[in-house]
Amino acid sequence: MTAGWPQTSISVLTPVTRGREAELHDHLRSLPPDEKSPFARLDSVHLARLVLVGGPNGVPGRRRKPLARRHLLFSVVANRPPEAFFEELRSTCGADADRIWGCCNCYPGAGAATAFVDYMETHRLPAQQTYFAFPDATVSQIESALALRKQHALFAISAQGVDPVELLNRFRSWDGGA
Amino acid sequence: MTHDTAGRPTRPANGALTVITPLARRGPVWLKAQFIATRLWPSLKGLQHFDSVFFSNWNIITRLPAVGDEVIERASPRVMLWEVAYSAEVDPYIESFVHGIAANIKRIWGTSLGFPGSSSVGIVRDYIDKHAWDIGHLYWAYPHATVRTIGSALAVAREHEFLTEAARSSTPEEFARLYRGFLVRRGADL
Repeated sequence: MTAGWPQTSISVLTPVTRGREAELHDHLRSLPPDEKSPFARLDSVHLARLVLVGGPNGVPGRRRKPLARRHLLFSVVANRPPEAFFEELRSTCGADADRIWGCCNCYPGAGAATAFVDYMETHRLPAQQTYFAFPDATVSQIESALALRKQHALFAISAQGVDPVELLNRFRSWDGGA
Repeated sequence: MTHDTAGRPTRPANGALTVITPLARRGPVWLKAQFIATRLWPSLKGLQHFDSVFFSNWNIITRLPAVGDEVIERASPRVMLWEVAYSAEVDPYIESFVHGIAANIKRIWGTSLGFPGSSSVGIVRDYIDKHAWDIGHLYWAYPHATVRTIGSALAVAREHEFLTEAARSSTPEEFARLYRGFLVRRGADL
């Protein structure tokens, strides 16, 4: 049961298969942003990011290498417990997941339900400390509230100077949230 | 550039940082102790005072899972991963971060190798730049909404339920009084 689940931070760190780093880099760069992103199909997701970390870097002395080889860091904020989120990711974005994590070591593929969730769970980082500005809000609650705020602003402008009877009638006939 | 309902320009997009810093030998132990303390006393994080932080997350990575029979890493990495998502230009964000919670920054990143201290914004900014990784793909469900906008919208939505109920049962005069009160409290949020 995941209804009403608070925002949860989920981070997964997977080693990239040697020789496929450039392919994955190019693929991540080619993913469409915003509503065309594959993660837009997951209605529990507030924020998702994919970052290539570690491995050799092209700027000498820029940083100590925290990880000896390239890893893919996937992190997401969603109103789901991790296991339920991984299953939602697999069943909703299976082809996209295969294209992304197919460049990572020992990835079992989205077709193997249990193995997929196990793979993600095995590579999940335990978040030691998190902060959420709106810990209990879902994506749909935030989107609805943003839309309602706009409607209220317009209503306030249109209702300026009207008498109480007219104000009440207008509110009843509008009533954005009802 | 987009505009909100009042015609004020809003930011075109929100930002995010992914920063990995190598930890000193005793760094993980000291950090874990701090994280336990902030679980007991959440105000120690200090982030609740910022109206630009959507989300922040700290991970201590001291080992990586072995997959198959390949040796992934020879040594334990011992690093701290910091991920943050915010609604501000990055420079003012770091500036307010440094000014607002310099002591917290020093406590947390003081466990990382090479941390130069939080005495100036430029020093912290350089350190973050040095250890930040480019984000390959970033998805926001609400890319143009700021933390402040969402806070306002949620506050308006809470009061809207009350107004809706009042509209069903109040006289016009009672409702007008309630609505004026709503505008006084929430006018800045619209």
